[in-house]
Amino acid sequence: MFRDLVRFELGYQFSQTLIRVAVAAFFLLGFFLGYTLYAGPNVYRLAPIAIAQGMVLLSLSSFFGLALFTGNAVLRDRTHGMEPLVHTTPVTFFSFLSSRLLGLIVVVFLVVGLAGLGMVIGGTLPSPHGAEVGPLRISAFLSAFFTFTVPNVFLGLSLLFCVATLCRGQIAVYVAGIALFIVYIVGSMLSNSPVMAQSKQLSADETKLAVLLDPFGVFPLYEQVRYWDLAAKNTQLILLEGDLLANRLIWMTVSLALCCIAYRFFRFREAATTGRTPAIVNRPLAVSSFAGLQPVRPRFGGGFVLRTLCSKIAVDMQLMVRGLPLLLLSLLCLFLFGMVLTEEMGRGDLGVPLAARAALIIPELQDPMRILGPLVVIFFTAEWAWLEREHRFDGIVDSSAVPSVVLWVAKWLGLGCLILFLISLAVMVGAGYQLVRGAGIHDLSTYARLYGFVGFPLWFFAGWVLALQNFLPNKYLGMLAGAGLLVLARALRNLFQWELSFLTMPFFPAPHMSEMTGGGYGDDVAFWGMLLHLGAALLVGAAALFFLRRGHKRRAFGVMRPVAVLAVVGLTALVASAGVVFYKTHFDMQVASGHEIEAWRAGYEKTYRATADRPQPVYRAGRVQVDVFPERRRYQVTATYRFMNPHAHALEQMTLTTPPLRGLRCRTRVEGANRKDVDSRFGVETYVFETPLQPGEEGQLHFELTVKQSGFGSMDGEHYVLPGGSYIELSKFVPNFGYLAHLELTNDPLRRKFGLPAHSGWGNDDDSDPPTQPWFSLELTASAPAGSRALSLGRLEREWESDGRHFSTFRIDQISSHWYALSVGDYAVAETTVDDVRVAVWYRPGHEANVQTMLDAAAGALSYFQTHWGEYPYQDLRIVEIPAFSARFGATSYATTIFAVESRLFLLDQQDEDAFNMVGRIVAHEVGHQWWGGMVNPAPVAGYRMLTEVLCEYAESAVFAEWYGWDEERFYLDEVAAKYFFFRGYDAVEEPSLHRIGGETHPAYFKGAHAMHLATQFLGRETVNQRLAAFFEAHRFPARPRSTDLLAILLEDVPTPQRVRLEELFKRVVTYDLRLREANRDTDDLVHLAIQVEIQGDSAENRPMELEWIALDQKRRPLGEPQTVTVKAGDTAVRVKVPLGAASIEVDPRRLYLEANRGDNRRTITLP
Amino acid sequence: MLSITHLSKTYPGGVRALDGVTLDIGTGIFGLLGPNGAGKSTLMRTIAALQEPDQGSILWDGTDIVRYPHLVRQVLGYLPQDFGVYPKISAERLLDHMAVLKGLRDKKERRRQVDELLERTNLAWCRRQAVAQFSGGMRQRFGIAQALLGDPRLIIVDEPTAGLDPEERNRFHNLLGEIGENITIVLSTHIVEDVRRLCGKAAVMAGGKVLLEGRPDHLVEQLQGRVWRRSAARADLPQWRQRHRVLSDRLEAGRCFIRVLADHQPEAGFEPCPAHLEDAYFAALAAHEGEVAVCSAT
Ligand SMILES: Nc1ncnc2c1ncn2[C@@H]1O[C@H](COP(=O)(O)OP(=O)(O)O)[C@@H](O)[C@H]1O
Ligand SMILES: [Mg+2]
Repeated sequence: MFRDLVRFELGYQFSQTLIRVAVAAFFLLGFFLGYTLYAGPNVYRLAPIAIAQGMVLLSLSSFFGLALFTGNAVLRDRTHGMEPLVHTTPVTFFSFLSSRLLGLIVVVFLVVGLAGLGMVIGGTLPSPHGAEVGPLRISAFLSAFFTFTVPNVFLGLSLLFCVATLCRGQIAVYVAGIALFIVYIVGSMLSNSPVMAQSKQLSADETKLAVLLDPFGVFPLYEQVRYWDLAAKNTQLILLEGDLLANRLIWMTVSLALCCIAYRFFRFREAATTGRTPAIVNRPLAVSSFAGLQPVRPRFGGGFVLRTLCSKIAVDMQLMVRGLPLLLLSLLCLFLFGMVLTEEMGRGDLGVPLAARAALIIPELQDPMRILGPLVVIFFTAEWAWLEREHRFDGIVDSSAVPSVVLWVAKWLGLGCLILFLISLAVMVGAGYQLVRGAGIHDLSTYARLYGFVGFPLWFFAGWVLALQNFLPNKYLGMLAGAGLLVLARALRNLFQWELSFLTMPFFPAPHMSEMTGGGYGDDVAFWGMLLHLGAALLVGAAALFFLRRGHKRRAFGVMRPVAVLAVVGLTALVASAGVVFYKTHFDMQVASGHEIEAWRAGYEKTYRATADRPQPVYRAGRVQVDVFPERRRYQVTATYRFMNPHAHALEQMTLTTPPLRGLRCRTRVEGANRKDVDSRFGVETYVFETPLQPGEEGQLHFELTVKQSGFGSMDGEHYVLPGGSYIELSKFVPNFGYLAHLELTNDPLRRKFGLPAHSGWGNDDDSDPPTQPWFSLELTASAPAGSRALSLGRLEREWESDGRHFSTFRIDQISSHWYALSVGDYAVAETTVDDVRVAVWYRPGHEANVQTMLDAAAGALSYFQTHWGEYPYQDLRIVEIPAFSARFGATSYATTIFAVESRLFLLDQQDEDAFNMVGRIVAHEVGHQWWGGMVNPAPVAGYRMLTEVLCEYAESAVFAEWYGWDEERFYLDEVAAKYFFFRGYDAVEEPSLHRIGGETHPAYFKGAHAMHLATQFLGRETVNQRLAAFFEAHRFPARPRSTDLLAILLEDVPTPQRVRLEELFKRVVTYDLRLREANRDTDDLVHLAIQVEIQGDSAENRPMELEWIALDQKRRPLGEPQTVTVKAGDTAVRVKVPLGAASIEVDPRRLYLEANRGDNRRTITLP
Repeated sequence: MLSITHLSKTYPGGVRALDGVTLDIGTGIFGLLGPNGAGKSTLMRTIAALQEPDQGSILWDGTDIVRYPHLVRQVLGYLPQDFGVYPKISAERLLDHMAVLKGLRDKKERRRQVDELLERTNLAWCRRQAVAQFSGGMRQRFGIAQALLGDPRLIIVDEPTAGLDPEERNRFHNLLGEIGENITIVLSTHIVEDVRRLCGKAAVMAGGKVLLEGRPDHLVEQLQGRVWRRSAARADLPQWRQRHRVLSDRLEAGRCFIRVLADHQPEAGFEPCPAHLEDAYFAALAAHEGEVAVCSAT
């Protein structure tokens, strides 16, 4: 009996078109997943970690399939009205249910297995972007498949099966499917998965719990690989052991339990009654007749369409929306949105929350909605499309006089209402979050963007899916087709890397947003893109309407007029917007795709790399006039630069390069020189002097530059002009001398694709002194529309209004480089004076919250640095707010002027007095750059960042140690250590030591902070400051010092053991892993410690090390001072004497060793 | 006035559900009689513009409703053979919704008609209950109520009494019988009795063809004097069938009687009896089956 049932079940399943199509679709999906496996820059495509991620993603995608198959397997009796027949057969529950389940399992794992095979095939193909594929190891695929895919799919399957058998509603199954996705998103958010591109940490206890509670194993996966370096990532297999194993076992058990629940509570009889209320008993027809029934004349004229439309939507909504599933879905969404906000907003970098502002909330909410939205749309569209048919009411509706256009449009509009509702939930959560955080809701209207930028795209997508459903023979195939559309659009986009990505489906405009500009970066693009998609959706709608399924396989003639109207409107929208986009990107302003720009940069390097060593003049002074027109998104520059020959010999000619990107036009003229060559492709001009430029002789360059921007093309956070907030790193876009190394591609796989050698970066060891760089002086006059103002470097000499524009002239005389920038905005200012320096913060009105903190920090840092290192040579120090579009950096420092990003400083929530003072810390760091990077301008060779970022990390901690003390510092050190180990996992090349550091940022910041901490602990704050002062005095501009110059001064006369430790940090790459394995009480005051030490990296000899330990009381407060024991690499056992009341022991309390995991350094003292 | 000419329809599976059907249907109740699978529902769905014929035309008052389906929908009341309803929606609400779809835009008028129909179909007492919970008879009444919404000129009811108990069926027929004189009603059934009682005109269909068409009493007239009857043993039935055109066999009080069509007394033992409509029906079917058999034999 059971055998027959299973055989029947399998036969049934495999005769379904759905299953056959699904098998093919999942194979393709697996192939696509394999082809796009990615675990970070430089990680092999076939690295075990990448495969594991791919397998998790596969299991996630399979949930979608599961929702379909489960519906098909479990709910089919109901859908086809077979329930009474099936349920009255003598089949036992057990064989009935288990045959269904078994059939389902076979089908699902066949589908998923084939997808896995597809992944193997797709994964081994050569990468489109030149990334390294790595060796193919089937074992990696198999182990990931059985560790992640199988348990996850089984979990999803049993949950959906359970829900389907118990609730017997298709929508309930969808909601359960969506719940799985939500759990995944929340899990990824918490686990730091690269999917969410965040790096923050849960506390140890939270981590322990999360590792076990994550149903998909993502959390333990990332715990396992968190600190793996590149080599480990590329080679090591994911091991099914420890937490990962425990997690998998727990969730397999849960899956089994779910199956048992399905069996335990499933009853045939319950199924027979449809509702909770019993069927109504018949009351027969009383004697009656239709004789004399009064007819009512129908009227089909104007207004009929509208009236039927409203009624249809109302009834459909009542059917779709009422009931538990939608309520559950709403709750799930509320949960997700709430989680996202508390996690992403409430716990930012170093635990500092972001201010609860709509402009910051909206991009956070957009993410999960973009993932979930299409799914919800696909599910609900299926139900909606088949509504009448599923309830066998189609004959009655289809034969009524309702216009065909209503039948389709009502569903589309109904879906629109559902989308509206879901977005309103998000808005409610956002506004609620603002209230809870006590921020007040002043910016409710900003949430309109959510409707516009998420709602409309989803609605257009719903139009497509609804149309697909019309053409396909059943709803499951329709859903598959909808999902196919999603994947296809992504695949196409991946393949072509279209800059404008109008091809994506749904088309979600980029979420960047700024309060300063009151909008996004490319709102014009968003508008045209959405119009384009509206047009496409209308056209598709017209097609669906033309072939509308009304009645039994009947084409709906007689809807010609609505079809024509829809088609014409759609086509007009499509053609008009496509035309505008084409015009904007091809004529108005050439927009290059990512590919083209890469090719351009590679071509530039190939053509001009060889000329890099040619001697060129250097700039001495610039007089620059900038007129910024934010409303038109353009600016123009008229400038005269003075240059000189710094070399010992005369110059015959010089080369000027102005990268001709992004609507930039430049005309140059050099006095006493003639233009010889113009390479307009690369913007390179060669001038020949009429008489050679003698050593020390000066010349003049005049140029006019116009820049026009639009939202088309990718956003450049260093260069944008927008109403309310513009930021222009102008010196990068004016003509520069010689070869511009910063245009080189730095990504090695990409370089390989273009036939370029590996990137040399800063590694050039050339010992020759860089050409002397003279002081540069700048006079910049900028004009901005009235009401706003421009801000740049130096002293504000003059400001005036003319022709409805605001002019201001800035002047600065001694800068150590010719780099400068300017911003334009509607600013307010707060000022203070410290040691005759005017310290000012320029901010957008409304962003006052942290202004005082910034002023305090800037003033405090300024006076600290002046006291300890050397004098600040300017009269001004200003911090200028710039829009969130620059959020890739927090702040950037030019002489006298620090440009700080609104979302990274001004909109941090520092209300909580006890919270980490992130704002102050960044400000101190940037003020530090006035010395390190400003007045001290290192030679542009390896080790450059040691004299800038590393010293600025020290600058922060020096100021903060004085203000906040050790607890704050310890917190910071632990955080940066974690970051260091996290980011080094993505290093492409072997990590350089600090004193040879090039473009790499994380060792400079995070390891640098630790190194300087150690120096401070060993030498004392006073000594370090004195030595920095000495270094500053000896090597300030125009000298161009190297990292070795600093080390020579810093490490002078340091006793050997400490010197070894410091050199380990500055000159080598060594990390530790300390572990207190045991702390057993021998007698009352003697404790036996078992300490394990691991050393990674090139630490030479296994010498004895000094290791500190400290006893802590019940409340983890230190008892007395740290004591020292001597240990060696490997295991060491020591017996120490502990003070009274000691409850636990911690090793290395002062953070003298750089290690990833400090959690195991402390141990409660146990009795033997 | 509905005139159907040479209507043919073959389903994808190869079933020829309609095969050159030609019918003229005037006002009053027109009965479509035929065994299951005769093509009645197919014909009705085609008239209701729910599917397209492969060939032939359907004119409603002279306009081609295959071309212009919306014209027939505007005058149509249709009760499908098999229909479900939306769950959780009350009878009143659903009827009101259907009324809107049928063009009743005036709210007061609509409510009045909905009330009246609920009243007459004896559903007023449970107007706020979900139709999905109705028992078969009530649901069928609801179906007819929705078909009568507005001012339908053409009403198509497809086996409306299937599954109803005899009493309920009776009442239902009474209801139908008095809908109105100048409306065209097409009723399909496989029960001869229904047609005899209700229909002014009828057609017998089988295998997608119209076998017989006319007023029921005329159809019976033609057989008058040609129907013979006798009792027979069950075991002998096949023999009887071979020897004569047996129209039907039926148990009456435990004995089996056969009815035979013949111009003269076929054999001793047969006695003449008055012809019924049923005889006409079976005669037509038998003729058709004979044809089919001949066809397949050659
Ligand atoms: N949708 C369909 N697809 C294929 N064959 C069909 C379909 N509907 C009906 N048929 C076939 O057409 C023939 C006529 O069916 P139908 O019109 O329902 O007859 P009736 O209503 O007289 O019982 C039957 O043989 C039936 O099997
Ligand atoms: Mg039928």
